[in-house]
Amino acid sequence: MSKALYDTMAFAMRYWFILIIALMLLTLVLVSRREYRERRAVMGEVSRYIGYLEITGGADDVLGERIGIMAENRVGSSHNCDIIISDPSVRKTHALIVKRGGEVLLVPMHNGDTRINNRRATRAHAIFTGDLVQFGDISARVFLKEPAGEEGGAGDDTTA
Amino acid sequence: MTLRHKSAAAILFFQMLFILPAFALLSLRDGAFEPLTLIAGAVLVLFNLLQYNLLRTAFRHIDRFSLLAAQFLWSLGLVVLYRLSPDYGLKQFAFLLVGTLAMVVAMLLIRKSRDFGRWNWVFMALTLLLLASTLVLGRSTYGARNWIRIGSFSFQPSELAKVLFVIVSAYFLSTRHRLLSFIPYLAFTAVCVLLLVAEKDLGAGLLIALGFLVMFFAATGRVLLTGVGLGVLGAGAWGSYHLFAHVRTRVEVWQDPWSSYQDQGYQIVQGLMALASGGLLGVGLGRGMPGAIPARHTDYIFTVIGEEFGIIVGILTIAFYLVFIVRGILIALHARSVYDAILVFGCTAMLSLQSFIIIGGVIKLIPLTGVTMPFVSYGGTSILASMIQLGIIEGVAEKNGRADEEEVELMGGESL
Repeated sequence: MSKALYDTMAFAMRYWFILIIALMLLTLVLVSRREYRERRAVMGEVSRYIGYLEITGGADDVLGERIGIMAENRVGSSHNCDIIISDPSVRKTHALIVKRGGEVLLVPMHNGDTRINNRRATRAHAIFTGDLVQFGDISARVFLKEPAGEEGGAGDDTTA
Repeated sequence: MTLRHKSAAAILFFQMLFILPAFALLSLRDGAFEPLTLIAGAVLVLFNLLQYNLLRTAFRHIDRFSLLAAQFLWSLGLVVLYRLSPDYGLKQFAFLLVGTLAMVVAMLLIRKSRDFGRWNWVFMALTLLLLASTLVLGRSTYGARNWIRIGSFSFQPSELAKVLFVIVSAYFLSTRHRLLSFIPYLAFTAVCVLLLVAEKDLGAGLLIALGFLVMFFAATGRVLLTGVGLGVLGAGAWGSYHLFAHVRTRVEVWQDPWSSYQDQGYQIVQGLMALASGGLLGVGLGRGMPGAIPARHTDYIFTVIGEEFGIIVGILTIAFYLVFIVRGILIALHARSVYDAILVFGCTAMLSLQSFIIIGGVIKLIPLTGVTMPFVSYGGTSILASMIQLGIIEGVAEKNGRADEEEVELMGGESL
């Protein structure tokens, strides 16, 4: 192979290297940006929830399902509710779950059959992780991320 | 709710499309086909692929994009080094293998970063010992007394001291809040910088001083105090300009390298001419004349890239560093503990400052101080230090990923 031929090849390959490196950079930036955005959307959704209800009793097809609890939720069978439980025993707007201060309150509505740990709720009650709540025939176990009333110190440390 | 990893196969594919043609071209350079060169290229491609996939399997949540950016940087470095001398390329590849091992060790150790605080005094003593060791045992290269030689094995302690400095800083900055409690840390930083200046290793001294300021400001947010620190740094620079002849020479050469073209300005002038002869598109791989540039395989490797690949590729290389920086900062912001956040931020700041100091020095933006270009330059200790820092970043990314996964799974989502 003559030197002139090598020179021509090396000269021509310059464009290839620039093209490939630019494409590599572009793909790297675009893919990482897309993944970051998706991740942020998912984590944003996750951080909106303060806990979840795990269905433990009722129709078989919803058993074990987890429903996220946000800072304010309407529980009922209506489509306007945040936590929708489609069951004939559940009223359209059955109850509210709201976070007030450090507590998470369950507020029964419209004389719907709402029970906490098998005792009928007639006014707002604080609920805690491990409580069993019932809306009509549907029962669910409560899990709250940062247990209400406990110090947020550990949580503060971890979010910095 | 599903956390998904986007496929990065395209990037690895482009990497192959860069490395193989480059080595194929180099294999034809001496007039005859040299199969060994092509094999070296194939080995590099295989190494990158294997490293990426093995790390992904072993650690599911590593930040793949920092790793890919670093992989491109060392692949480009290896192409240039192999072109300069196959011997450099092969040795550098061996360093990379050791570096990968060090990176994995760093990733595993970082899981226990909570316990690092207990070892802080050990780390501090080790840093000072490393820095002081060159005063006694050191050997001068290019005016700086920063090498230690043991038998046929030589290494540069200041590179490892940089990493230890970040670890020590992260401990102090995450546990101290009152001003007075920072005094041991400030004294430690001052001693480190003074030792480096005494060894004439100005690059590392500047790096630690700037790294300290950036980390201090990021961790405490104290504008006034950082301003004072900047003032002290400026006064120190001014003082050393008047006290030390070698600092004065550096600045004079920076202002006008052409007047001392034959001696002190030689390196800068050669670098500038190489960059100029390369122009936008470069002269073509293997067609430049890097033989005239001192330290072409270490500090001045950017000029070889600029000459043979063109300044467009030079700018793209800087952009890869930027990707690396952005990913590093995102990982730091995401970290679950202050200590980890400062650790990652410090490593990112150190690597980016280092690349800024050397590229800025080479293109005559700032006075030239010798540091290596992270991941690209030839050098065992340099690669080792950069890989440990990458390992720290990846280790925290892995922790973040695992915490994210737990949170998502708690809410009934999944992470793929």
